Amino acid sequence: MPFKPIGFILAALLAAASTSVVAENSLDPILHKAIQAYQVKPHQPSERRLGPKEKLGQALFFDPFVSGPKKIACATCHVRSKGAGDGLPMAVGLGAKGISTERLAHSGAFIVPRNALPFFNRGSKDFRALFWDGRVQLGPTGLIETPLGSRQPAGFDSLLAAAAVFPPAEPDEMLGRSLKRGTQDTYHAELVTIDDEANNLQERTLNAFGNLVERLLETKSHNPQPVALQYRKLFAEAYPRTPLNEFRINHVGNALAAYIGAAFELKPAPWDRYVAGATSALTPEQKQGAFVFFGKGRCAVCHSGTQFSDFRFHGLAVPQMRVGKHNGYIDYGRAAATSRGEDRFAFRTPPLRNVTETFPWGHNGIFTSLESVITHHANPVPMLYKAQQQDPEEGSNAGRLLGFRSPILAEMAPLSKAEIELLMKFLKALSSEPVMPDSVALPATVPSGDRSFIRP
Amino acid sequence: MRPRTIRRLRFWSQLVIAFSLLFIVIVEYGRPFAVSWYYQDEYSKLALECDQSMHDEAALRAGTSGAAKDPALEVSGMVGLAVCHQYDVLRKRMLINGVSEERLALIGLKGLENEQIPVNRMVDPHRMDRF
Ligand code: HEC
Ligand code: HEC
Repeated sequence: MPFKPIGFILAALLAAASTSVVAENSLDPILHKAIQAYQVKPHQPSERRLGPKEKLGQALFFDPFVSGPKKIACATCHVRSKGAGDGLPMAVGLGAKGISTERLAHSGAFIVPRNALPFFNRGSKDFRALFWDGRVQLGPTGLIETPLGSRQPAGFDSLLAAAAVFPPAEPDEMLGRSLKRGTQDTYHAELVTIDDEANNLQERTLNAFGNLVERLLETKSHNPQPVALQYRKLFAEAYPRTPLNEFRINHVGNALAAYIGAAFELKPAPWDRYVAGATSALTPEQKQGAFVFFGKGRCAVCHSGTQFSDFRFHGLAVPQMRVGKHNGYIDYGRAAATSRGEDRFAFRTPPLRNVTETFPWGHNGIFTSLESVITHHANPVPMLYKAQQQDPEEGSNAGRLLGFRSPILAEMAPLSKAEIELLMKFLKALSSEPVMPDSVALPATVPSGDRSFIRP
Repeated sequence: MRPRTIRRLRFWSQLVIAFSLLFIVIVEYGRPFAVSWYYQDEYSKLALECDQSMHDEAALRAGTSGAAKDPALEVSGMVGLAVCHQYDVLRKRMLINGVSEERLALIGLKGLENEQIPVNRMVDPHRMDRF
């Protein structure tokens, strides 16, 4: 008879002994301190719609009419469903057809030896340097600096606007080359009207800018082509107070920037909701990942701020793959923009929003998994070794690459496989959809009528 | 008193004494044993991580690395120290549950292996001035 109470009392005793030894070790207070210390602010999208200026930008973005041989558009390489990149390690410029992997079928095509960059939140003022090497950037006094130096045209609303007009003036990307150095498919046509174009970047770029505006608007013609008539209408609606003969390249850039800013602005990601106070927006594992990101991984030293970039330049000893912007075999990165020796092999810290969507990774697209790119920060040896096995020439560069590796990386604490998993889960929390749905962002057609690149 | 009542009283008082003794045994010996057995891996892991993060933080604060003294690096070092807070919380909870200082020191040392300094001496100030 007394056995029943005994069982009951025993159970109660055990329960008392083991209660609340360690309650959930909540990371929230610590994370909030880290957020304060780094002064991280959540991303808050602004109200975006397609006004007349954005409509003009949209037409220019999707219309291959903007390129020398009229064969390629911004939308060819900046594909909406590929994270606004192209899903290729390096972009395929003129001489190919289609979008994304379809372009690999054309062996003679020009390669743009860098991984195409996505456009997420590029309308934000946070972006103080554009392109992998920051060749379009805000100077110390807030002035726009570009490869055109003192000859940079005026009238651009933003850094993005100034950057957006360079791709149409890049020979391999959109402009094209002379017939001596290619075919009709890669011919710059009337967009270049100077001699010795191959050797004079500034002269050629300015020449292409002027000729592009003339192609779009035929300002001197009394009987323009139907395409030009449509562009005249779009320009007039976008800039109602500017007369036809006063349109310049900055009007093209400002419209492209207006469209890019509106079409690729992101909704708040789980991370933004968390920073704004929604404690349950991140999973416990993502919180642990954030803790590694802001702490011992030192990730936030470079991937900082709302966009997860310091907009500075660091060397990661990424194998070169024998392609590059210099003599075709090497990519000096930042040094191309500054001409300073110490900037060699450094690249802009990539912003990490939607980084889970922008396969493949790295300035030359050499990383095919997020895990491999994260591990490479801590230990570049396996990738360098693999590259050397595939191509002995790579090995002759490895020491140099390591010499220019950022000393900040030496301060990363050793990360376990489990911690790298946590980091990848955290990166997922930085992803969100664009505010604007595809149905609004994609046009029905473009003035030239070539709809090849209007794809989701 | 009726003999029956006395028998009952004796029975119940013996029962109460037996349970009280059992309670004391469980709380004083069983509980610390169970708690330290259950949390020892976590505890020695946190002790090691805390130790490492203190070394890192001290190095970053001193700016002796090749990287210039960088405020963001220092902040990352401070964030890294938060594992010492987790370590501390677990330590206090284990103490409250009757695990002895000596036993904690032993578990901690197992994690650090060849470090000869008792863990509490390293950890209490939360940072060190040497690394
Ligand atoms: C041939 C493929 C290709 C085409 C066509 C193309 N781009 Fe790009 N875009 C790239 C690549 C590759 C990069 C990275 C290049 C670099 O950093 O040197 C890039 C980078 C950019 C960037 C910098 C983004 C950042 O985060 O810094 C902007 C802005 C941009 N492109 C705008 C445009 C516009 C506007 C057009 C059309 C007028 C266009 N691109 C056409 C491939 C292309
Ligand atoms: C020294 C500054 C620095 C630190 C610290 C740093 N990164 Fe990076 N990260 C870079 C640079 C620079 C690149 C681009 C390198 C290249 O392609 O040449 C990059 C590339 C990446 C990429 C690929 C992005 C893309 O779009 O291709 C990811 C993901 C990434 N880092 C995550 C991390 C994580 C996670 C950490 C912490 C463990 C970290 N980074 C620490 C500078 C840094």
